[in-house]
Amino acid sequence: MFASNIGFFSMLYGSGPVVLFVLGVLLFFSVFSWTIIFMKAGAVGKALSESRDFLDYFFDVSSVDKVFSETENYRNASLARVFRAGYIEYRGLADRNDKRMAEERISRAIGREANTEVKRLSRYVSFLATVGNTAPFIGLFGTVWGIMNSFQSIGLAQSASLATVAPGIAEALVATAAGLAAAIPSVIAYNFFSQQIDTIEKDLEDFSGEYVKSFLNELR
Amino acid sequence: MNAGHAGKGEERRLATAFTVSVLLHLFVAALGLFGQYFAGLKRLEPKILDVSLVTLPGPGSPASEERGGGPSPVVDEVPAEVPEPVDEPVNEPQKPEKPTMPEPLPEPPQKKDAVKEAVKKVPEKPLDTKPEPKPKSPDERVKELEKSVGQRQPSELERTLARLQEQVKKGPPSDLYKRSGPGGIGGGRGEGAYGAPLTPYEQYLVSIATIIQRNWTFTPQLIRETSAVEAYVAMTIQPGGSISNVTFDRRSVSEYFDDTVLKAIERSSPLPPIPADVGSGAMRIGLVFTPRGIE
Repeated sequence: MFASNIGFFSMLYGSGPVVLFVLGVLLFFSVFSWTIIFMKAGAVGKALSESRDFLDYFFDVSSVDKVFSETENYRNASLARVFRAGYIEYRGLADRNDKRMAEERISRAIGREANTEVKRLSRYVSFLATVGNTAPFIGLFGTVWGIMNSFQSIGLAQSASLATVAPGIAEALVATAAGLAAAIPSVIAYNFFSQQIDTIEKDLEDFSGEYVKSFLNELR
Repeated sequence: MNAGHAGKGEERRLATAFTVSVLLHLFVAALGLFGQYFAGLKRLEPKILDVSLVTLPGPGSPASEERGGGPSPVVDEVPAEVPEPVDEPVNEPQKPEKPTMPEPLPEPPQKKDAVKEAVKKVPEKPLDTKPEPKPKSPDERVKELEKSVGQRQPSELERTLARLQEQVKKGPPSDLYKRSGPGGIGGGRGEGAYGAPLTPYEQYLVSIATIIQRNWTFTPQLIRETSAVEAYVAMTIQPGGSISNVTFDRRSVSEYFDDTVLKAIERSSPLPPIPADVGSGAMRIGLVFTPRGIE
């Protein structure tokens, strides 16, 4: 099947069922972690860049109605979503003269939406951490199993020559390599996304007060 | 911007990302396959070298000592060549004309009070009461050297030589090996008959030895000392050429060497049938295997 008999795929061809199962699990991990990486790279990146643009617009325009109409252009911006939630609450106020009540309700609506937004951005990211932590161990399990089989075959062959020992160990080490290949991008992506989401969360906390202030100013 | 719409958008993004991820993995797998294919096309067949991860018994190992190899120090390494004898004290005594070391100066006598003070200052450590060795005169040194040379253990080389001499004195273990002259069978020369035409028996022996030699895979580097390795193997060749009753009349000091000899004989069976002019019945022959070849 293969022109070379010492390559990666030739080693897979000769691997035992346990090692193949481990490799299958690691492939699943790898595919889904890359899926999350691609998805989150788009979502978090857009949320950050559009939020920045929305903030510029927000500080340029004094009218909340105008800002609200502009939020349609910033569908992915977390700050725009939160502002939108606050505006809807502001518009729904029955008694606009009770400022204290209005402030409380708007603040609550903004806080709830900020929380939802952080949850939305953080969804699936924990899977990356799981892959990063467990994939090397799963790979190691495959390696240990493969080396156990290798030693067994050494015992059966009653020979400790390199020809007997090396192929089994090489096959076994494929599992560790696969585990690391799945874990390394996941850990890097997890750290990156965690940091980005923290930034967005901090922005939401910082600008929630500004939003509430802008709505209260409209009430005067 | 309702929740259902956002949820659908996220599902779509998830599906897209999953597709991209699967494609990426397929691409990497295809890249690996092609890389392996082309690497396989370019790869030259490597030279095969038989190696072993275990230390093989040879001269000096406990196994060889049990089989009469004589006591010798165990060496863990497998040297590529015959090891040089260890540098031990030189056989010839050193010339004692001129002492190379200058005479040590006599130490100034210390005052008893100073010694007492020192003892008082360091009471925890007991003073070494052994007297310092006096400087020896050149004559005494010469005597010591002569004494050490007399007591010296024989070196590895000397032991090997002694073993070889013993074997030469003993001669071949049976008459089967008498036709093995210097130069060996493989060279096609009989005992003391350089240039003389070979008898049919000798020709048959040469052909047998050539076949066995061809089937003999042996790595001399795995034996510590090739000079003393010699195995006397007797075997019976049936008229049809099959080999039976293989026995070691004298084993070599290396178990590995003996194993390779046995395997070579097993692989060589059946040999060509015994020619009619050599004999009609089964034939018992003896071959001497050395790291240089079959003799």
